[in-house]
Amino acid sequence: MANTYVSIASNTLTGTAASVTFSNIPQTFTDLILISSMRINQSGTSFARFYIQYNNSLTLNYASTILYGAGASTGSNSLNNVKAIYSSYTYSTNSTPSTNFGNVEIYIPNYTSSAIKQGYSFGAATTYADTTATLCRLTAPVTSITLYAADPDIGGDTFATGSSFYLYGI
Amino acid sequence: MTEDTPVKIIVNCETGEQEIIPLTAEEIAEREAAQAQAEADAAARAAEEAAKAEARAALLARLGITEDEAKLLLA
Repeated sequence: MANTYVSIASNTLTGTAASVTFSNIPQTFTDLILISSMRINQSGTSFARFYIQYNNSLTLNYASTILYGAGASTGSNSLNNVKAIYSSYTYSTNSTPSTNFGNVEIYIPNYTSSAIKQGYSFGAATTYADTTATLCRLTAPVTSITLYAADPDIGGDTFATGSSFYLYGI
Repeated sequence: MTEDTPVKIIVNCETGEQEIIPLTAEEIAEREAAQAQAEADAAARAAEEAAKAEARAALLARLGITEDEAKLLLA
């Protein structure tokens, strides 16, 4: 593994957005890391999950295994054959102050390979933290990554203004 | 486009160009319909859980034991 991160692209929201896509990802690195400081507009909740898709496909088969700590409680969850990676939690509407943004890291190793894509995401939001093992049964290079503020099949939520997203190649 | 129209952001890593694209009326309608269905599903699950809790409480009352005592029996 290289010892430097190379910045590929970034975006900081100047308004709300239902999704953020990094397209035409160069195929010159070995791994990808996406780091984000985000908040989700989801009424009635203090924490909300975001979702990840590769290559703009709703037909790819995804899975997530989540280990989390919420305050003093812990738990786990596992999803298979879903239409997006159920990724980490971050702050949402009921979380105060409104300047609370959660920290997220998404790692996609060997993204140019023809093997299925196994990676991880970390999320931390003060009273909530989780580690998610991610799987996408995509047997082609990852050329785009889309982050959704809501389950793509449900919609309705948006990333808050000021959420930032940074894509790096390793 | 109104201020409330949801948008999607596309960052082209090759050119650096960033597009802010309003969702189409069809996309918005799909999102709203899916969200309404999700809310209905959540309400149905909540109602089911409430009914189970009520039935459990009634059973415990009929047996004359507490929740902790029931857990002890099942341990």
